[in-house]
Amino acid sequence: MKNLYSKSETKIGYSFFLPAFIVLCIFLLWPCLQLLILSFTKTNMLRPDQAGKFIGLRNYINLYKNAEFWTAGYRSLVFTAIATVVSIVLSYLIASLVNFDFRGKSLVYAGLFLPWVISDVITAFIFRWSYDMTYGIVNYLLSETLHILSGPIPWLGRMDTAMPAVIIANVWRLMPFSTMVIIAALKQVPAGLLEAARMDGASNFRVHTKVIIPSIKAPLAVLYILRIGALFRSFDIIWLLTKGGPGNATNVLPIYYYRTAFEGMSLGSGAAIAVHILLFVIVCYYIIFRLFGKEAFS
Amino acid sequence: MKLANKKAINKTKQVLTMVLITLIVIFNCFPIYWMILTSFRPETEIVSKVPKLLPDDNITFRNYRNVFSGYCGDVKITESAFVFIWNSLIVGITTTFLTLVLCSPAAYAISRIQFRGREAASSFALICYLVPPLALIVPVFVLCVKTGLNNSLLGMILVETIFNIPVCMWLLRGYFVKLPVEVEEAAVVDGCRRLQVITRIMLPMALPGLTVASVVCFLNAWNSYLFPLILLKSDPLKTAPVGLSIYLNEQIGMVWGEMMAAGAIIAVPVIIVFLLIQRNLVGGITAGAVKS
Repeated sequence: MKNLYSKSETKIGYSFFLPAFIVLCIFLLWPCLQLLILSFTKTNMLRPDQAGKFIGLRNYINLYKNAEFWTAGYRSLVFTAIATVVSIVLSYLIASLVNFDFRGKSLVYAGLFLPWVISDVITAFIFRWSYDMTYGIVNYLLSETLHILSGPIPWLGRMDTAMPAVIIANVWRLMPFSTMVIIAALKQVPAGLLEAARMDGASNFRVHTKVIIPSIKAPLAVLYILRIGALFRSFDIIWLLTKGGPGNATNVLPIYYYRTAFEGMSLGSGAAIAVHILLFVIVCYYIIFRLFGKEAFS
Repeated sequence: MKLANKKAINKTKQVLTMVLITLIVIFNCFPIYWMILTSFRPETEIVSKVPKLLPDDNITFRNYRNVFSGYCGDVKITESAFVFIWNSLIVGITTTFLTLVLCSPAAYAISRIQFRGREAASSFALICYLVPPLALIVPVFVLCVKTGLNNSLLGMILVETIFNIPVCMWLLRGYFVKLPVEVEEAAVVDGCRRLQVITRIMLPMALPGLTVASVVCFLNAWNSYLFPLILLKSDPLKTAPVGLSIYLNEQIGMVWGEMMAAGAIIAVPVIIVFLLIQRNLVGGITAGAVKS
């Protein structure tokens, strides 16, 4: 092996890393700083090219005085929490169900993983159509076939059903990925440990709670926190399904942010909301980093 | 007797598990199936009180014809879907190329080259990777307006490239560190130059990883919605997800057939890519894609 930090190695290292480094500094880290600066200014959407007037903490103060900001934040937390738990619990159940050798396994895996490539936009199209009040398949199946409902429901148009409906669409979109991660994790559980537990006559439930889950604790925790970070900033599906409505029933922070900045024309206060989303995501990632180190992200 | 009983129980258990798995897979894929089925149906059948779950002879290409000519019903409302797909392809392919050119050497540097500041460099890559693009829509928008890059495909390509470099860099880093060092060392001992080692030995070994990275990058760009939504304002420049989402719009009334055809048009290339490289992808993705 060559000397550690030999001159030629260092030269090659820098020349390989520098182009990406420069590009990222200019176009990624500078906008991050810009975001912070913008949040202290009054910048109007109609003249975004003109630097806004510095107004100190005014954007933040107005934001904290605005009840909708707090409700949107609360909604975001509820949305994130429920979608995270539901998608990961379901993924865990499915992953443990298919985690053995059988014929047609690769076909099943492909079928489970397929919705992952379907983009948010398509997900929104499909669910918009399925939730339709008059012709949607969901209402038809629930009221005509299964007779659970007495009549059709405008899922996305009612204050109390809009959020669950939006969560279901997100769960469908996110489940394939977590299922795959959990399947990969389950392969790491030592077979001897399982056998020993079964020999001791442990019930299926106990095998899961006492043996399997503890031994895949780390990947599960990482998955959870990453999912929280991702859902807290998810925009596309909700935007295309409800635009935050009806009323403000699904007005989560990212939607509130977009509406403030691009419909309310106030880029400055939009930036102030974005700072909060950024902070939340940073905290999530920081927790992972502290618990599991850098490698948890790869 | 008892053994036979146990065997029978095991057998039924197995059958039940398979039935359950099949149901889950069907349930999981049903929305996609339903979209494709609806997209081929004439409007009279789409808006019928009793939806038909199975395909029948009554198929039409009218919805696709409409979407490909920018019509909704009998009214021209937008550009042809070909225009949007073309834009998406330009953005997707150029972005993938630029991203890989910039990020593969960097990923190689932080995973295989011993240089001072390597740890700092890899932390830098991680931090960039974790920046949520959503938070930056406002500054990116302002930056693009200032430089005149808004409402242009070039601007779109730059923005997509910026957000894909960290993703692919981190993904490739995870891949590169797993490749055996011994081969490289042996080549160095044999008198290979560093660059020769890279081009002759590393590149072929890294090819599967590079494939996964380019697929991830292309899919990200292809599926991207939020940035084109704020940056591309004129119809002829819009990418497929943004251009075609006009079919999901209360103001023109709900046109389910066209909407599903539009969805299928966006989905088909992606599903084909997925099926082609599925085996590679599943391993590669779960190994290093946090942002999904």
